[in-house]
Amino acid sequence: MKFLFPFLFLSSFLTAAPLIDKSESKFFPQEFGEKLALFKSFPAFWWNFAVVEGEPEAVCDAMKKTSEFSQVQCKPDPATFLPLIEDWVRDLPARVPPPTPSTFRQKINATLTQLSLPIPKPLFELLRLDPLHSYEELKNHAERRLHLAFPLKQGYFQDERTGRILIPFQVGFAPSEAEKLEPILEHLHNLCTPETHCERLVFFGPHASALENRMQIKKDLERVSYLGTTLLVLSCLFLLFVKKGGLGLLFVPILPATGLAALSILLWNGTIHGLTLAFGPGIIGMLVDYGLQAAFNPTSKYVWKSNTFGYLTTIVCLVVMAFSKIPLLSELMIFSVLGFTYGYLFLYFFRKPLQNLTAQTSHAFSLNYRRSFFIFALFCAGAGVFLLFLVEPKLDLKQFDFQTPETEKTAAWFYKESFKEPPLFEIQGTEELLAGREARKTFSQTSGILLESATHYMPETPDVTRVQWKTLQCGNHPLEKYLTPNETKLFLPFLNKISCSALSSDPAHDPPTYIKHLHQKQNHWLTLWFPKSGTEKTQVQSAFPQARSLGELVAVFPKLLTQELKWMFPISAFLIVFVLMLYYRNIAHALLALFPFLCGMGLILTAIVLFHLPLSFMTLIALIMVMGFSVDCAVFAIDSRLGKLEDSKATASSIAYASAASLIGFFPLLLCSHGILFQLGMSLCLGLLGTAIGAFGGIPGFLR
Amino acid sequence: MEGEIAEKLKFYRKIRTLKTQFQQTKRIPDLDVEIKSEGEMELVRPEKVTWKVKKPAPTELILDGNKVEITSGEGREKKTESFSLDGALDASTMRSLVSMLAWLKLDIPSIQNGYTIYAVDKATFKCVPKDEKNSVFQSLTFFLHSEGHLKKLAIGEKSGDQIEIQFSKPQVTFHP
Repeated sequence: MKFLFPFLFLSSFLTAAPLIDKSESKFFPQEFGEKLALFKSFPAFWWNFAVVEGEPEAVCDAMKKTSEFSQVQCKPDPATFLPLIEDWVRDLPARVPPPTPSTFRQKINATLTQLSLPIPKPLFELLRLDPLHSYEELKNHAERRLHLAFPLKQGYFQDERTGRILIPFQVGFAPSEAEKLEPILEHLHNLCTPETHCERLVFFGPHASALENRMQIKKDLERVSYLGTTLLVLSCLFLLFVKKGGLGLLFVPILPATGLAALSILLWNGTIHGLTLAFGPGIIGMLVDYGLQAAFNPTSKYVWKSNTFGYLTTIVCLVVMAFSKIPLLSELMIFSVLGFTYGYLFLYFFRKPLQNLTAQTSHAFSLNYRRSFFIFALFCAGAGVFLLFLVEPKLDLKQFDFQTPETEKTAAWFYKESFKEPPLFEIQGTEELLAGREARKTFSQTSGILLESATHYMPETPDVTRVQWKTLQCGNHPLEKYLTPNETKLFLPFLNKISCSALSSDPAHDPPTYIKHLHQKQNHWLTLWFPKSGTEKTQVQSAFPQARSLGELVAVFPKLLTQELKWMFPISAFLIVFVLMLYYRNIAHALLALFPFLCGMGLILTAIVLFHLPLSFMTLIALIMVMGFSVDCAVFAIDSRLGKLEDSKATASSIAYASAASLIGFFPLLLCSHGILFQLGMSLCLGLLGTAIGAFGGIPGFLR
Repeated sequence: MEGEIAEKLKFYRKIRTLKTQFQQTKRIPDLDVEIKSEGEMELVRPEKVTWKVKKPAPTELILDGNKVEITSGEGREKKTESFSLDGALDASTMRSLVSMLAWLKLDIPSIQNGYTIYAVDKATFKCVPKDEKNSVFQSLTFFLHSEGHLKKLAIGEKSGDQIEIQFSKPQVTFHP
């Protein structure tokens, strides 16, 4: 029940609350996180894909009418390119010197011939705007850049082998706002019907995947909420039935504790990450165990000493992990430490009322030794120790990205056909970009490795050519002189761009539309390399060490976390044992407190091996929670067996209730389709079960 | 009506090749502008039409079955682009050009299939597309010479622009 709180907070994570950070950059140390956030802010990476099986016309037409899509590559028409050509023609005087009168006249005649043909209005307007055909240079750039492996047939990119049609489309906003696309993609799906002869429609790409991910989390949370609420109500009824209804009040301190912890983080950081809000309360919820102990041992003078050392062992683990270089993990641990401490203080201050929460009835549980149970517990712990050295963690971020099997299969087909090697990118400021212009151009030409850089579109000597144009157009023989009055009217849009007044005004400061995809607001520029093999990739990275692929950048997270786990777990274990040594003054008892955790870990790792599941980031979060809970249970069980807590049956009952409450709370996660939620649920349920096995089976066995 | 049209255009029934000069005027009412061009048209049955513009600038469009070839420029600037109608980059532009060239093939059964034909007078016939939504033109009017050949073709584009093509007497060869 206590662990239902994560779902309430996860729901807020899915909304657009401005204080809640939903970015991926917090998974990375600052330097990498900033780079990743910057990388994803370039419109060049806002391309998604629609794959159609059957007739694509209805979907294509609807997509072209969608204002949220800045570009849609199906049935291309000249109207799409007009905004680009406007800026391209405006900047013509910066790129090339003015034509001679005879060249000008030749080009005008050629354009007049084209205009005389029955052509669509958008093309007509394009030719009026650009009679010198400078758009051909832009078209060549675009064709070079477009690497799709699929030929264009009747206006669509088509895979001849499968008949699938690919429609690339660029969204007009960042993937973090992907939820805006939900009604649009739903509408497009509704257009793919037998009536429109469309058989199947799949979307993938940064926005489509982000949306699919969020939708699945939402669906899973709804499912979990219904079941969780039902279980909560049933649990409350059960407590009332067994005359322990007052125990429900133990959850009360968790809310203010969580709220205060969130406020503390907000005051310190300005924002709080959604995942911190999602999982932090779960960790904080563990302090209910102390309340349960106090409630079940109302007359014990020792219970709060037990609780205090249980609290300290949990805090130690959280504090060690707070030193992680991964900002999200650090924030989550600090949040948990604060919430745990606030909650513990609330519980302590209200300890007197806690004594009256349960009726003095007989307790069904005991911590008596049972041989078979003890052997089973030993087996679980043994598995935990053995498998810890065998199972490799799989901490990549891809697990956070839910894809349906259909989307996964389609995306895999596309990437396999299109990219032999992923593109490499560099991000530079304006000065750095211009300074490296020649070096990159030369390298690209000599190596044959395709380069996409804003410098391709930037003029080499803008001031020189502008002066030449200005001299001509502001002089006695501007180009208009070589046109008839009819032609002057026809080419007025072009003449306005190259008029004396236009040339005399200050050049535009904002980057033009034709390079906006490579520009980010704070004057960062994106440069892309497209190696065709591993050798070419190495060549680029040797010459330009800053160039890296998105996969390489994202791989920082699992590498760093794996390195950190190698020292965090041993240090946490050592500090826990140290704290318990201070408590028990007995190394055996101190080490014994880790036994239930080993049992829990044993069950988790066994399931991972048997069902080929990953030892993921979510498993790690679960292990942290299990460690805190298991050491608490262990301390209570040991203290009870050592006679410090007079009523061992009451202690056993409190451990049983705590375990049951946690299991009930996490059980619904096992019904989730999203991998990370399922993994969390599986790890927690098995961890808690293992803890109970260790506490009830193992500890009495060692302390018989 | 269809029988009457077929009778009027019997001149074209048995031709094997046809060559004629044309003068074209395109009127753009929005801008109050006219664009003039002139050139030569050549038809080689069954499928090949060549539209050769000589003024203002040399440009040649060839429609041969499913293939379109566009040659423009002169000397070093000359370039040729070929497309299959399947792989057209800009479908709407291609449809316009191909529709015009297909008309010039004077494939009477196809014309009758796609258009409702009204007689304006003995030698003038207006054709309105049967499927207006998918047609590239709003209307076409053809004017016949007393000798039976096409004298003038007037195309009303959907944009409101008007194209008028005047043809000289054609040089023809017939099937044996």
